[in-house]
Amino acid sequence: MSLAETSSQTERDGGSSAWNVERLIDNLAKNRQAEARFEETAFSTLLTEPLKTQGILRFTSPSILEKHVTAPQDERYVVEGDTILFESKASGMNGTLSLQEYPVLRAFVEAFRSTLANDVVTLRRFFNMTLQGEPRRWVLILLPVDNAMQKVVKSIRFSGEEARVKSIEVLAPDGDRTVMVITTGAR
Amino acid sequence: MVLGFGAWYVATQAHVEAELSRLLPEGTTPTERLLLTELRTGTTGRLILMALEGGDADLLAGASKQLAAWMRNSGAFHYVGNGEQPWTQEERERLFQHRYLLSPSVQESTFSQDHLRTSLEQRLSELASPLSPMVKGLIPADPTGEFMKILQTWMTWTAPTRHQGVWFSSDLRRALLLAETKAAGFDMDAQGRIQGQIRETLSRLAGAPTGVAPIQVVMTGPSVIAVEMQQTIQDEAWRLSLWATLLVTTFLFVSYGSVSILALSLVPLTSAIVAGIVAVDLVFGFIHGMTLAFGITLLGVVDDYPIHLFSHLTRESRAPAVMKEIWPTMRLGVVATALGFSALLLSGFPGLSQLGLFAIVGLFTAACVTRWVLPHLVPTGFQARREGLHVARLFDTLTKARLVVPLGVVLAIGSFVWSDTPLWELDIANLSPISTEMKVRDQALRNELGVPDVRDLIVVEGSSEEEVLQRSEAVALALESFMAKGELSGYDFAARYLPSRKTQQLRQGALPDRETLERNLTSTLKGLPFKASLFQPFLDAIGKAKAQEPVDSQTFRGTALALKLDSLLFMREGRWVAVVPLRGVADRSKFRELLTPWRSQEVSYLDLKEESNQMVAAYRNEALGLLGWGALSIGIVLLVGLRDPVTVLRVMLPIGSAIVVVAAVLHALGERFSLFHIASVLLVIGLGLDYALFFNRRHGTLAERGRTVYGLVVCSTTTVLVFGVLTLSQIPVLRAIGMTAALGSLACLLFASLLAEDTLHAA
Repeated sequence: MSLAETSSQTERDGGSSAWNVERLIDNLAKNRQAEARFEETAFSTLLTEPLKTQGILRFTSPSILEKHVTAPQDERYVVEGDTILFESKASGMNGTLSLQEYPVLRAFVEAFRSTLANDVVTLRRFFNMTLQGEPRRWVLILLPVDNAMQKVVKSIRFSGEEARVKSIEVLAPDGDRTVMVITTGAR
Repeated sequence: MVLGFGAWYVATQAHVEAELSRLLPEGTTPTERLLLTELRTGTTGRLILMALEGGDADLLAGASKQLAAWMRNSGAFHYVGNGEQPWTQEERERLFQHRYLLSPSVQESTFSQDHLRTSLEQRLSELASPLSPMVKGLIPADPTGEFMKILQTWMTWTAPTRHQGVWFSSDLRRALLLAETKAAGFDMDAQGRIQGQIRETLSRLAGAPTGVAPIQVVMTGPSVIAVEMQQTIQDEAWRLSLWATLLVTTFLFVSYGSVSILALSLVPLTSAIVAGIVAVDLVFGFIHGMTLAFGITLLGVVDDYPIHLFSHLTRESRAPAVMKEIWPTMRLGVVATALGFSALLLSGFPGLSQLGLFAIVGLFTAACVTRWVLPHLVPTGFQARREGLHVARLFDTLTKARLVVPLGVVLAIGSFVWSDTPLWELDIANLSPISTEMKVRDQALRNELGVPDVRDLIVVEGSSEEEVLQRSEAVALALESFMAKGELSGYDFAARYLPSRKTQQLRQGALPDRETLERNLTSTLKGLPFKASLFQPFLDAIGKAKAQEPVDSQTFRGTALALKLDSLLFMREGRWVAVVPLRGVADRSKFRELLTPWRSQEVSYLDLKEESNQMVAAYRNEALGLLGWGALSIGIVLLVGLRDPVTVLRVMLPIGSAIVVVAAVLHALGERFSLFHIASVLLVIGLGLDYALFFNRRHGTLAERGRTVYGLVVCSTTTVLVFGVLTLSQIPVLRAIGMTAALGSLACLLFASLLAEDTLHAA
């Protein structure tokens, strides 16, 4: 546990160390639960006050990710392979989008999905990763590699304790920010 | 030498045309003309649907992108779609600029406080959603979401599933592409070339990973089917004629026992074909492949001429003298047959006229070659086999059974009267040689890509673009109500993308002035968390839109949308025409009825299938009429030539009876008659005339009669062999010709012998 004292460690010196990105993500995947409740707060430069939503995240191996918003309106977003399916009960809208067509969305999706699926290779393809803190309290920072992604995502911060993600914060270059707090599950 | 020159001309100068539409009549009604235009140049005919298969999804997606890139660069296509980039950035910007003129939901209430409130609440929930990065940039200038509404309205079809940004079948095993060629759908040469290039390019692309099975392309669409159809007919015709040639050659060799005679028997037919091609090309400027195929069929009769000559040769006789002797009979047959064919020449249908000219020129050429060239080439001392006598005796005994003929005719007529089977083939689809497998493949790809076969359309006409657009907007209102009733599942029309000026001006009029809008917006924003000055771009955009020049076709120049507009809205002969393709018409007669109040001089409903069936029926009726006139003129010529009404009757009666009986037999076999049967009947008349005239020739001796009969049996057997082979074909057209001609030849010979004057017994 001597390495725990080291405040910061980048992915480049991972390798044989006991505590690194691979280890953390492996841990997260092993302890992942099928469902987790979340509360999300979106801070937009267009708005004077944040928008709050809550709901359930579901993950089915190998790569189906579902974000089910239950309040204030019932909405579902399911990522499967290359497509995003969305449906909104309130507005009656539904449809599918391709991640290829909207690289913007890809950054978000891969950040979530690859972290949960223990897919470090994909994560590295899209992000430069920095791990801070110690196993008991850590912060994983993802910085997009791709130019197009950089235009919409500045950074994604996963914060957690042990093998549990507590919050995910997405920061946009224009100052917009969403914070998702995971309240139960994903222990 | 003449033959050589002719062959040279055919090889170097003659223009064989493959485009089917060149054979179709010009059309008399505007609807007919439109249908023909649609057939000739229409978008529907130029579509190629493709599926790539035989690899994993990633490999297929890569191949799809590379193939599409090559196709776009080739310049051979108006449009290539594979799912990549539905709209380019520039196109999106152009649409965004004109959103208040193009959006169907723009009306006064859109900007009322209530509506604004609903719109803004929707934007809020979008901002809270994972899709917010995509939409947040649009909100300040377009809070009512008009841009997205335009895109949604224009999505008239459900796009296929996507993988890596390109279209796929739902099981991800086939990557899908859709292309529109610049070449017309019926320009078979160009279409064949393009399809070949696509296959070649793909095989080049797919060559990359070794050890992996190559990617296969499945193609369909009207032009693909047409090319394949032509290929199939050619292959089949080639294969069958090879068999027929083999059989006939063997048969002729057995009959005459001489190779040189065998070779000589081909001379008249070959010269006839060459002369026919040259003549048609000189008169029409091109010869159609179909003319060639049918023409050669009709010319089958000329193969009988050399056989008559050879059959009448004896060891003592000299060919020129024999020829002189049988010439009057042959000449009468030639002239009468030519008259029968000339009916075709006078028809208003370019296809039939070509056929008539081809057959007549070929007929005379073959006759002349047989009369003046062939006799000098026949080796002296050649003699036909002696079996003639036995055959002749056998045939003479047949005359005792002549009651069979009237009996057969009565039975035939009876079977027509009592039959429930439809007499005519009215569905053009059943005439086409498209295989079931091809149809299934076409349907499957169309379903996967969501591009149904356009069968129903509404045509709106007018004197100006604006008039047509306004009129079609009115029709669209009716169509919307039919959709609500479930009578129609969808439609497409130009005014959706390019609204009439009137509609655009109405929309501009519905836009509020700045003061009103600002007031509504301010009060709406109360209690909503939007920043105060956020919607300045919205206020500016509305102000600008009020004064904006209306969108016209120039606005979309150079975009994929412009191509779509061109196919839906165009000027033809000084009139503007808008085409409204319909999808899923539930009940055609009910739909026609529903549409009655909207139909007028300028708005008509077309069922393309019905129209083309009617055109085929018109073609058939014309041919049938011509057949009647042909028969009449043949009778007159015979009367002049034979100077004896009884003999004319003896000649005509067996042919007429044979045709009736053959028709009844075919009918009983379940055949429905079409143009192709009628064309074959013309051939049967030609053959029958030949048989009957020779049967009724005055013969000096039993030996001479034996030679005549023997010749006729040889003629008929060759015909039966050639056309009998055709009956084995899977292609309806070839089968129809084969059955009619083979049965016809047999019946003509039989009836002619049954009804022949019993000359020898009388003598």
